[in-house]
Amino acid sequence: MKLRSFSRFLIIIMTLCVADLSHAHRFYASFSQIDMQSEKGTIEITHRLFTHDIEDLLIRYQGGAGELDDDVIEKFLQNYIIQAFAIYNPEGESIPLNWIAIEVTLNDIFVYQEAPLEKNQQTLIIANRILMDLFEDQSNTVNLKLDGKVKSYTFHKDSELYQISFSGRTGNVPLN
Amino acid sequence: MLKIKPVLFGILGGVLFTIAVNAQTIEQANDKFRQLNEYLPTSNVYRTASGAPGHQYWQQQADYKIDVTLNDDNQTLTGSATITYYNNSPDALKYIWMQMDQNRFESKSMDQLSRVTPKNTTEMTMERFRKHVEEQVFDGGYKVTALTDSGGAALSSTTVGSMMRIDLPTPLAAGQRTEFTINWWYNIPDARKFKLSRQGYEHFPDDNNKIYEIAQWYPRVTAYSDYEGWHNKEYQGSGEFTLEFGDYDVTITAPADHIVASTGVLQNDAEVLTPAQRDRLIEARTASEPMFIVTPDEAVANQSSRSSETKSWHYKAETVRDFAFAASRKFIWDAMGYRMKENGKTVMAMSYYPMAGQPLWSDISTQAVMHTLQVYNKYSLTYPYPVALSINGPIGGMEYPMISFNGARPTIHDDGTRTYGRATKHGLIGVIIHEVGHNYYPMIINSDERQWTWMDEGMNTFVQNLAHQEWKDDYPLGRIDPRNIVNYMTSTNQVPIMSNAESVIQKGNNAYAKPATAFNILRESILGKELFDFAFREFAQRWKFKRPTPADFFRTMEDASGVDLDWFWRGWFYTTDHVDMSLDNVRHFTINTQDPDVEEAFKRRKEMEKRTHPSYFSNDELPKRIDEFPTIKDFYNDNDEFTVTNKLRNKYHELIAGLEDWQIEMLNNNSNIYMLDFSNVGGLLMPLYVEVEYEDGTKEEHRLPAEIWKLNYEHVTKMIVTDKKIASVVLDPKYETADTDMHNNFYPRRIVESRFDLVKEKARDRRDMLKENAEEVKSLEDYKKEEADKDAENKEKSVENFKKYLEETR
Repeated sequence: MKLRSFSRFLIIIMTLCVADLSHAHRFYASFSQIDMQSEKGTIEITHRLFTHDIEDLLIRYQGGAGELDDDVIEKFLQNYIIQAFAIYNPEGESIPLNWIAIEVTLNDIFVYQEAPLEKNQQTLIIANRILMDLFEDQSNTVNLKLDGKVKSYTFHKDSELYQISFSGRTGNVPLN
Repeated sequence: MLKIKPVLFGILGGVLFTIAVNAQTIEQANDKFRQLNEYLPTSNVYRTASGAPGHQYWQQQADYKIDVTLNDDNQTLTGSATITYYNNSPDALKYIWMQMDQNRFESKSMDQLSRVTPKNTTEMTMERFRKHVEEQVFDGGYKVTALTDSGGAALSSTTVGSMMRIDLPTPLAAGQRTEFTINWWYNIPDARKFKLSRQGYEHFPDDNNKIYEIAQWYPRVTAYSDYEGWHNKEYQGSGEFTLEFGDYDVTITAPADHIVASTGVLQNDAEVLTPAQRDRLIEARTASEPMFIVTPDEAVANQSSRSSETKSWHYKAETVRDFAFAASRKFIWDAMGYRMKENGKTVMAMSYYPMAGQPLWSDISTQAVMHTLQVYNKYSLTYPYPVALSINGPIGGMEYPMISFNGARPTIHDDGTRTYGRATKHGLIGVIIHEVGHNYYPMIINSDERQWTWMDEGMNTFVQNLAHQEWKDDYPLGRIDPRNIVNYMTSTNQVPIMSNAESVIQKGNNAYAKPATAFNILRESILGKELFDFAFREFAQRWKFKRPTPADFFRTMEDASGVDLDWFWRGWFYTTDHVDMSLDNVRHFTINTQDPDVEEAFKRRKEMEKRTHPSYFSNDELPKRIDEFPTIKDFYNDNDEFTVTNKLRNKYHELIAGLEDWQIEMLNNNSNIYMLDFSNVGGLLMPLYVEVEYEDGTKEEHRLPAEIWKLNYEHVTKMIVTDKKIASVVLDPKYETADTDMHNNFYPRRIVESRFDLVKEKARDRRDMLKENAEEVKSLEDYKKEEADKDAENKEKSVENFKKYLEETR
């Protein structure tokens, strides 16, 4: 996915935002683990999302579908995640993500994606807008892991692209 | 000195002969097992060092007599309260601080003014912008119209944000009480327009009705405690409430066609309920399943009613820390008496919900309320109140004494049908158990929510999950499974659990999941169920209707279990360390018997094992000179360096002669000795749960306490003596300790299938072979070319787009 289409998507989803449903015991949070597996030469990505949030999202975009089976959820998420989450190399080239699978449990949905890891790659630029189209207060924490070291960043609605590096600069990549 | 000899050299960490623990200077300040002295307050007559209320424990009391009118036409609430304040403290009070929590919805409140916008904001959604605008234009907050003493004389007051100071004409002496009256009104906020509103109304445009969920609706006396004095932290939305207990006598006047559900017991049912409703209520008290008090049909009929009359619902509640209610024409109402086996008393479990909640609510809600009481009574204390309510309205999940607001509903489709997903259903069960469970934590065990979110949320989430386990067999562990917290535990942008409620980041993981997981680990692994349940219940018993602090909890858990847990509280509650323990090496030894006939043969075997290079064998076939000229052979040709000489044997016999029988027995012990080397990579100390598998296939578990790290919390070695030979060793095989990296937990190392790997494997198995087979076969060259073209094209596009993108946004 390209940055440009990503930004276009943001404009579209922003017009769809719904009011904040004051759910005191919903956390408006997701957690993504990005493991840069230098031995395997892969980037393994696991998003942990609340099942309830994804059901709301599905209803929002597809209308109520009654009992939602895993295939319906997977098909939807395949389209959704690719528009809401992306990684780029430091040159700004998007790194295509292979869809692996989802795993649905009562409380959580785990989404698995994978990408090749370039040799000696120690830096990623990350965009994460998951569920921000639905919830104003959504915050998405990302752990980036390389050789046992972890760096984290939490994305909010107004977050820019964020670069995490184990050898260079870690910080915002301005959108403007 | 007994000597041991290595049998198998370690294959992981190289050869190590040092057995002794790596001694090094550890300063007391770095000792992870030192007591929590610098964190916990010195005990006193109010709070003991054992974590119990002290012999002079005191707390204030405030009783409220309130008349309140809900105006459905303009969504306002008007009240008059006479408050009796009992000064049980040893201090004279010159003034009384009130909590005016509605003031958070004033446009100039600290909550509004302290909200931040990210530096780089250049666009904002219409919705969000509207919210900003509405927050500014909404005329929120209390309008106090009168404040008088018991004689009717005006009292002077000063408002400071969400606090108001009432100056007393004469100081209120210790042990004295005072009475004053406040009149006020406020605009009820639209619950969905404010972040974390926790109360407010919901409008249903189809039938032009509202559901009101009313809370933080009257000026409440600010808590005054032995450890904080007046609790003067401003209400900003996240830090909930710190309150005093008292008795309430409340008369709620609402449109005559509204059903009013409230904290407390209805006193005038003859005046506000129909004869049919009263009969049903009596029947429901002993019914075997929930019964409708207001049926769905009656609720639908009520919706189109527009009464100009009002009715006053009179409720009383004793020893509650707060009071809330809900009102609507839309309410369906069901009820069932739950007879508690602990004391034979019956609690009325009741649910109020609109048609929008059906068919889910009538099936689940009241059952979930009763289930909560059943399980929490076991782990905490016997529910002391006469009713327990679950209300469906605009608030997703919020708790008050005896009453809870729970938001989950089925989805309504265009054709009017309603369906719900399994997450909605289980989400509703979970949220009702959670919110009703809050009756115990913090409504009765009255912790200080404004300071500590984890005390009520963490403990409640923990017991909630125990309740899930008793709802059905295969309810997933969710937020208390140590495996699920590991990614959060490694994240670098976290704060300790012991952070103020307003300053907690990643709240769900920090204040709910992590403490709940910590309690689960204490219960299942470190203390065991029996000890943990005893101590956890002891905490509830000691502090019911009192105000515990974190120190009281930490101390009680140790006091009642008899186990020093300071290291555990320190690691899990005061730091952001994570668990990563490693099994570095397993080394095998046997006893050196000193018998030259045994030992020299052993040395020879070891020497021969070293001779692996081909040149030791490749020349074996060639003729040897000594075979051609046998006369040059001597003693050394028949005997190698390991041959046992008589001198060696005599020396051995001399040694044996000087030993006692038990020492000889030791020498002849033919056990296998294993040295297990562990290191603590993550920092957070945990016990070592070690599963050993022997060559004969049997397994043995060694559960070594965390105190194994007491002298050195980086590296330790544990010796295992056994008749058998070890085939493999696993550290924490049941994933009990929230170990964030399992790769270093196996000896010999094995490839650990990560969750990712397993899912990938499964996804591969799920393939559709028919579809795969229908694909045309491409030649390898075609394929390579195609790939290369695609790559080139993608790369080009991508760079181009990125440049364009940067230009566009610059």
